[in-house]
Amino acid sequence: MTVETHFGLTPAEWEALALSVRVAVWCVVTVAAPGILCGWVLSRRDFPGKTLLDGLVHVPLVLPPIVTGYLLLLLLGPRGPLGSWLDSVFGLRVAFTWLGAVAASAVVSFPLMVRSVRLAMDLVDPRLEEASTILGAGPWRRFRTVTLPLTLPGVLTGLILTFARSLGEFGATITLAGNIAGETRTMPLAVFNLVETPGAEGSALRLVLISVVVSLLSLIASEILSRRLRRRLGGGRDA
Amino acid sequence: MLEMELRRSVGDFDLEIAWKVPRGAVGLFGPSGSGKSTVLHMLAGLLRPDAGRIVLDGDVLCDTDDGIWIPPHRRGVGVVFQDGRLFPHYTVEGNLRYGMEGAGSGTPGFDDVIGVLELEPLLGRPVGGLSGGERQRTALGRALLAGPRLLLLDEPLASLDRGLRDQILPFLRRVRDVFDIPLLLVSHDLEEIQLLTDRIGVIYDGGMVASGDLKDVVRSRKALALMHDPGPVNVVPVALVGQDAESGISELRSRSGGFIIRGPLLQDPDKTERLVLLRPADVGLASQNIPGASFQNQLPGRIVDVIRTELRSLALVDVGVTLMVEVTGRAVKNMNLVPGREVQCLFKAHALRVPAV
Repeated sequence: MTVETHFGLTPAEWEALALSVRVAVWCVVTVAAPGILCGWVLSRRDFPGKTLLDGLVHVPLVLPPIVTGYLLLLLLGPRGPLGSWLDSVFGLRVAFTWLGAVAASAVVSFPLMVRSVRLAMDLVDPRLEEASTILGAGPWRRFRTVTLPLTLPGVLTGLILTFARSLGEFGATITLAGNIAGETRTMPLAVFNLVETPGAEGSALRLVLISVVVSLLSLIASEILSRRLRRRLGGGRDA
Repeated sequence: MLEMELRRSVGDFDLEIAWKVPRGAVGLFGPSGSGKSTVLHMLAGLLRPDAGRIVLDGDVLCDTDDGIWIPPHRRGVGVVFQDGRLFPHYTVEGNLRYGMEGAGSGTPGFDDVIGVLELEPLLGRPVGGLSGGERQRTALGRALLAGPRLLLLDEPLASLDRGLRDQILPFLRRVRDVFDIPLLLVSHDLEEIQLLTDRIGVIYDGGMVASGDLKDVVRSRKALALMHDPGPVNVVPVALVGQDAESGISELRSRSGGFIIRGPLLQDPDKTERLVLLRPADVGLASQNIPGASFQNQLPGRIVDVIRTELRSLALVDVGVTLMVEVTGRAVKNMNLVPGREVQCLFKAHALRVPAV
């Protein structure tokens, strides 16, 4: 059997890889701002119901991903309250589209993002924020110039974890977005398919290797980035 | 002019003070737990009083009756914290410029502050590598450049050893003299305050005990009783007239009293502006001049007052300036130390500490 290849990959493998990366990138984009905000709220604010919020954020971490996916399907499915609203107002269909894959990854990786941000923010000395206030900075400038820059290593870690978690997401994705070639079949789903297909062990192994390489590359990239960042934070810069 | 009436209760600690602080440099002295830090935080706007008023140069910063509360970032009250609190992700220059954004028109110029605090060589440096003294100078410069109408100093020298303290001191005094900004130095270390100013308020257990010139404040027995370990020290501004290596003696002229003090040989004889620091316990009194004694200093003076607390007695002697002399109850009795009595103040050249300012 001869198949046209790009860089030694079949179109189906390419499709799965490209889709995985696209979903992961969008997942990171989606999670970044809400994750930082939620981490900040949990680290710096006290209010009734904080424990509840904390618990709610962390639920996807302990639920089986398939359960998370099913709950999301109930919510975002064609007849779900949020799903039908999105469809009627924006014409957006989430369930069984690549957006569903993004949504599933985002919800599952959100707690990882929030945790990283919160832990890093807990380590930022609140007395530095006080100093910023005393120097005339309002709440937004204080956050932008002191809290956030000093939290950046944690933010970066959170984003890398989110990216990696999204690349590996399986259960919630297959439940909410299905396993549609070219639309929602990301790498893990493609591997699952090939493993289930008799005689496709060779293809499965190639995808597994690609997965390993992509994951390693993203880890190395994150290591380089965070080293640079730490050097800059420790090394100082101009205002 | 800063006026405050503040009340705040936390647990069983009640703070209730009323204090009018004159312009210029003023110290707030109190042992730890006396409430001085609470006062500083309320003035800066980092803490709300249960009830009270703060008025700075006619502007109401806080009035609980009228519901007025200016938040800290709009108050124009600067703070130099004990630990500097420099931003680790900015250079020295980045830190210095941080507060300039919202600074008003009366703010000292960047170049002026850099010049006075000699910060030029540090500008590009990351703050991580600064020495303790450099950090405090940067923190001081940063606070000044934000254009404060009142600058609070939270034990700025307390974390420094004596050598560094003597290095920072000239900068603090220069800031006091060059920029027209009211300074309030809050400290449990009386000497730290005295190096900058002789006008102080004394706070204890949440209440003001006394305030005014130190030489008047020590006449309050309650205030004096709080000043121990170390107690008040005599600080006399002097000019170095000259020194003689052969005899091992420097000559220092009191800038306000005109009399001469003989001190030890000093480093940097080019620096003529000096402070003489003399502990009251290092001064002896004699009823007349003692010839042939090794004391290099025998200053004639007149007793102004003798204050006796439970544990000790302090004689105030006018020698051209008012000198505090620690005496025993026995000496008071045997020498008949009463106001008006003429005495000689004896102290050794080496009893003096003479930092340059």
